[in-house]
Amino acid sequence: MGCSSSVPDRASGRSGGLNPENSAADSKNLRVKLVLLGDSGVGKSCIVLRFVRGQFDPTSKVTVGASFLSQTIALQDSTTVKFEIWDTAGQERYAALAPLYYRGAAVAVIVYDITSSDSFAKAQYWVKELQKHGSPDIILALVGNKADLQEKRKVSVQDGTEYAEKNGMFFIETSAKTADNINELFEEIAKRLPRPTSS
Amino acid sequence: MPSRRRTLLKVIILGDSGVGKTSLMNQYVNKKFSNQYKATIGADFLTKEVQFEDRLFTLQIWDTAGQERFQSLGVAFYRGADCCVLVYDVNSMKSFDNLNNWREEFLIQASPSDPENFPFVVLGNKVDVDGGNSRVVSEKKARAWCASKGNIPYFETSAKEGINVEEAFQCIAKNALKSGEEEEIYLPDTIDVGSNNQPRSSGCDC
Amino acid sequence: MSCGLSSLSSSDELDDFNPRTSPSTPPKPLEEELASLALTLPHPQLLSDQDDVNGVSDGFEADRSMFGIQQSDEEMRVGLVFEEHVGGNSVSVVEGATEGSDGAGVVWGRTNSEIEVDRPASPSSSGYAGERGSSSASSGRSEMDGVAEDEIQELRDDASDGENSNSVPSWVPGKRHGDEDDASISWRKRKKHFFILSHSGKPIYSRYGDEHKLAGFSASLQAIISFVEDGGDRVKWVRAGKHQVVFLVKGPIYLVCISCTEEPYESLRGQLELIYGQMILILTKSVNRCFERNPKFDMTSLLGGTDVVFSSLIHSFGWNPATFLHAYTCLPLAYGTRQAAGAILQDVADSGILFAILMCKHKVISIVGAQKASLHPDDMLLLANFVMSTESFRTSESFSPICLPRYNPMAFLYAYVHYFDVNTYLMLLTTNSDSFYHLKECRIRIETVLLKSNVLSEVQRSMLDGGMHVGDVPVDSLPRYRTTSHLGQQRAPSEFPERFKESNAGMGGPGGLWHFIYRSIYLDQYVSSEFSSPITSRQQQKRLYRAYQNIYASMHDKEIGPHKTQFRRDENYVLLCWVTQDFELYAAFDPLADKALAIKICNRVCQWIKDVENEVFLLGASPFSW
Repeated sequence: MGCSSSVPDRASGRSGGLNPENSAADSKNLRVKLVLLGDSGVGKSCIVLRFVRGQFDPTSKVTVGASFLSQTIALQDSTTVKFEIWDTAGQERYAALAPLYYRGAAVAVIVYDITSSDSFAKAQYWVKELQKHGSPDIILALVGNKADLQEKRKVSVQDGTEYAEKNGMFFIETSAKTADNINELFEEIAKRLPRPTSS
Repeated sequence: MPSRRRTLLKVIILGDSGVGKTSLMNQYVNKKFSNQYKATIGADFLTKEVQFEDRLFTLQIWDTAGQERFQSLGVAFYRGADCCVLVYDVNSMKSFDNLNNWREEFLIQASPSDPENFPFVVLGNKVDVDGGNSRVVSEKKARAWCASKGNIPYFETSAKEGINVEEAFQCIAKNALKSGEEEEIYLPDTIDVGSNNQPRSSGCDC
Repeated sequence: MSCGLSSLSSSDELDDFNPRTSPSTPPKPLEEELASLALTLPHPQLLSDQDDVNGVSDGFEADRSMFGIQQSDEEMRVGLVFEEHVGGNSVSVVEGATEGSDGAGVVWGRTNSEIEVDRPASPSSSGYAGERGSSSASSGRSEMDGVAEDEIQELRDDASDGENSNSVPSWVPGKRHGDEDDASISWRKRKKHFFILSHSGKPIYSRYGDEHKLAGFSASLQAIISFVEDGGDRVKWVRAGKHQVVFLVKGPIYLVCISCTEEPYESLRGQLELIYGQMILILTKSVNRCFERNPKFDMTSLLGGTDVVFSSLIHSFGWNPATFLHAYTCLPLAYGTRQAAGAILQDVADSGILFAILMCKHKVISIVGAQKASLHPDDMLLLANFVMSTESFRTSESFSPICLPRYNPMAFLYAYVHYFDVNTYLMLLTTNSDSFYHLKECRIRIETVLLKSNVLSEVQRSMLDGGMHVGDVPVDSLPRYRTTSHLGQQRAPSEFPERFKESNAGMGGPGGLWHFIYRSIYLDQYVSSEFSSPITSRQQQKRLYRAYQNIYASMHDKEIGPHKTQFRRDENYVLLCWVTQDFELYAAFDPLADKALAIKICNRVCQWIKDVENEVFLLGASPFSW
């Protein structure tokens, strides 16, 4: 198997490939590439659809490859942030192709399901992968989804917080079902984005 | 949680005719024992779901016929085994002596990638017979042989009394699982005419 | 013989149609073809085979059954014994003459030493019906709803399917009966099973039941394949009572179908090939490398979440003729409309896109390929099935790796997929993993043009109007040159109230014509008529497809065929089949239809299709020139 020609891209974090051509247009109107990663079934698509369309569909629909959606939010300081979101498939067969989607992403949201320890382990795998191969200045967010299922909880808030702190990540628990913390997640990300120095 | 990953382990049971391979399997899977001897012709297949260290997995047990005339089940039969269980009868020296042949036969046929470390488990069966008075293979002797073949785990069992059967299969599962740990990574090629038409793999760490 | 196809040879289209046979002799009119060929009788072997099968208990369901392999060497009989334990399976090798003979009459098909050709029952009036009549349960059953035979176990599903009888039937996606295993009686009674397993006997996919619970069964299947392989041979199929077990070995991947639907071996094997192709489309053939390095490799998890793709494909074996014709079909559209769609696709394809495909459900609106790139109809079928069965494509635009097995089974391409409306979607395939934003822009351009030129609204209208109706077969023999009306109908559909259409449809077509499929050989395309009375229920449609499948297989049979024409009459239909260099026509008539009239009608149908070929086919530079 030949060496991957995608490696240089990945290492350099060059904004090529699946990136908007003019990201971060100006200081008032930001445009960022965000990628969601995590095990299948943790609710990545549900988070995105809740954020972008305000919808929640309880029937589980498996994502194939990756879906692309965008949503713009306005912050209190009158800046707008347009998120260009890659909602990737959690299936194992796509793991090897993930660099295609996270290459050059400014933000990676790594999602697990608080009712599944396996999915938390998988989240840690993605964190390591991104620390190794993502853009060096990538913003990492760790999201424990399905927070409405408290009675089935397997991953404690503390475990999530501690792991996130250790890895310099921002941590939040959400529920795409109840919409809890979904907007907060994206607003918090927006706040943390580096502002281009206005010329 | 949809499609939570489960592991399937292929376990092959080998040993001379009449040592109790089928009985062990039936005791383990169905918790049943029959005094009637029924020769296995060809092979039997049983499935057992096991919980081990918070993981669910399935044992696919291949119980083979011990008679010589059915031994030629072929390479394909042993292909992809995760664990091989060698069974002998503690009351029969010949069945013990043959363990070596069975082990060799398996390694030749299955040709596992790392034969030195391929997980075997040895079971000395029928310890209950005649209160142990007809026993001809000592535990010491059996353990010595197992040690000489790379520390094969050894259990003394009675399919009839259900002694050590559960424990033996727990060990079988554990060992099979260990050998399955180095999972093959699936790295598909992509065509990229932009990069000299060379098939490339994304995600390869080099 | 004014309406024979020979009268068409004067039209230039025929030459365009068929550039490779330049001084082409036009096909003889169907009358002549049939005059020179007697009615096709059921194969003599059929009767004897049926005798064997009769009176034998259903081997698959029986607690214990013997499978005998009868080799050319009469001395040697080998039986495989399937013996049921609680939750276990066993395969045994039995030697000796006596044991093999008390079981079901089992015939093994082998590549090297084929002894007996088992010809699955064809729907002819002799033999087949008689055989079924004698199988205890069914003596008084009406043949018209006789699909029940085929569907008894799925009655509940079909009852709901039946409500939606005119279009592609509704069906529950995804795995059904996932809790079953081989010990479940319900599982054993299912009429058609499909399995994928690895060469070490590990289960990969099962249509019904839980793969892991079926591990023992899957081991048995591997044992059978391996046992025969060990003798330097290959098992193609096994007949056990009512069941046919068909095997397909693709390197480290084994595929097995167990069916009692009486479909021909060739059809079932073709279905296994498609299932394999679907798997390759999802994973590429690179999975083989995983097995080379590690025979233990467990592939199940790699196919996670794809149950729905396979179940939708398997479902389509019962309704989509593309699965056995190896051709695709177009949505009927005015020539200009399709041209407009093609032009904009061509425009973007020139900018580095390998294939641009615009489809409405399983029908093609237009398709354009980059230079030298050609797309096989089977790849299109599998791609469309993949996209349509995956809900996430409908939610938002997507960019996904997919593999076209006939184009390059080893590597992934990237597919940009976008739905314009609930049925209409665009697929842009590229080799460049970085081109998402480019493809997105292409899509926006395409969408703008399609809206401006009303293509999308025309597509909607065509969906409502439907395709060719047998009731519209021209009754006069004059060639028609109409450009404005939909599919050469004498009236625009809007001018006629629905009830007229219904009553018209209720009579079927002229001469008792019920349905037809026309496949253009050089275009790799087919067109089929809409279903109308009396073929209205889902069961009837499925049965008609099975009948077509049977006749297709016998027309293309390598040993006794290929045939040019076939005329079969049984208690269900008259089936008339006509194959020329240019096309294949399959037509179903009322079982009491007059033969001479049926032949005449077939000529009319061919003429009609010729008249409307601009609308029902995608003409011009075909990307399908292999």
